[in-house]
Amino acid sequence: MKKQVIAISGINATDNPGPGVPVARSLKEANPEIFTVGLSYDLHDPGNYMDFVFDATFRLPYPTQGWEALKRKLLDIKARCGLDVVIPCLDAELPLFVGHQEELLRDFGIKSFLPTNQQFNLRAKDHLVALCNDIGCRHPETKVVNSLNSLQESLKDTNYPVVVKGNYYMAKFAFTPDDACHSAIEIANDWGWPILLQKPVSGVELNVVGLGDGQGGSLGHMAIKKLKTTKLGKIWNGITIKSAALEALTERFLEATKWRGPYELECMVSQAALGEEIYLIEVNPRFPAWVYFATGCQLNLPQRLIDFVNTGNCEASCEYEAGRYFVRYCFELVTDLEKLQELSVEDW
Amino acid sequence: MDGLAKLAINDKGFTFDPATGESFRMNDSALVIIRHLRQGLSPEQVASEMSRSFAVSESTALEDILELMMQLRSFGICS
Repeated sequence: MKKQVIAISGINATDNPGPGVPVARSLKEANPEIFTVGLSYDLHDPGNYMDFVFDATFRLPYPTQGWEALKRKLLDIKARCGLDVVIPCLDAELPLFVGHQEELLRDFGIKSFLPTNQQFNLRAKDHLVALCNDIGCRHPETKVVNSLNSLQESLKDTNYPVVVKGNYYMAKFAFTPDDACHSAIEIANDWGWPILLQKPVSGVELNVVGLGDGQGGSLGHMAIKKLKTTKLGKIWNGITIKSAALEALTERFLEATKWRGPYELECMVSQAALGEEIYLIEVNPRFPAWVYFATGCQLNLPQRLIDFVNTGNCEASCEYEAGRYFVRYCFELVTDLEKLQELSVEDW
Repeated sequence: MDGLAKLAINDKGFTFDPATGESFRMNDSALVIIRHLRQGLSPEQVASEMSRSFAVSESTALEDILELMMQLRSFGICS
């Protein structure tokens, strides 16, 4: 029987890790017979060298090169080793995959399970306030600025400190207008406009990872508390929790958006035990890099995604134990120069 | 005492609140107090138990119990 070929992006398992390696690891653990393809943007991405997780890797064109370049590459991969399902895991590439998911399936038989354009836009950082109002939760006071002029205007009546956020990535604390201006320009240079100026929210960070069925239902979700993070805010230690307030928020989010595909809800809770004051900080339209935490708690969400796109059905239980502990660690891999040479000179 | 009932407590006093992910360590006397409160005893009944088991007056025990309950309230564990 032909092996199913599943391509996964975000294979940068670095200090700012992408979700690709844990997604592929989850799939391999559920079914070692699948053929995993890593989609990389950099020949140094660790996933390129992790042959125990990825059976092959290919370099994708940057999202700025547009859909035609990405489509050509996906078809090239399909011709070389087959391609049945694609799981994009990086924010910057998602608009292309979301916008062309129907074309990929209809014209090339490549399946995916992603939010619709409308759902994708609902949770965009610059639309978060409206979404929070719809689902009845708090949100940090946020200003959206689309240019240097509007940034300078907004900074005049901003209270400090303020969190300066990029629309895709990066967030920096700023304590003065100069500080904020510098951070905003730096982020905009890398990730473009708009930039968000957000009032900081204090409290503990609680997150939810899940998979929506596209009809308002859940195909599984799990809540955690981040116990320790890196300087970049990436989880290093975490613990599973069962919070009634967070559960209710997740249900309202799914019901209101009819979310289709993977998601992560990033929340701050100032009085966690009382279930009051939940702030929704961000909705990520993809698996987070800590998705293996759920796999380790018997909620293999990447595998559920594959089952759902293959059959229209999957295990949908949300049963997990509170108090499961997550520890991330560093791991080294030593190989010879051959692979690097291959990736440097060949069209891959 | 709903929040108390949900706490996971081991015999060394390590305590985990599954609703918030908070964990803390209780000393021996707090552990005894919590066990009694979880059994449904009132603070006064617990104070009476404590004075029988330890060399402490009921009023001192009650003060300690109320102080512990105040701390638990500040963690959002009991109302």
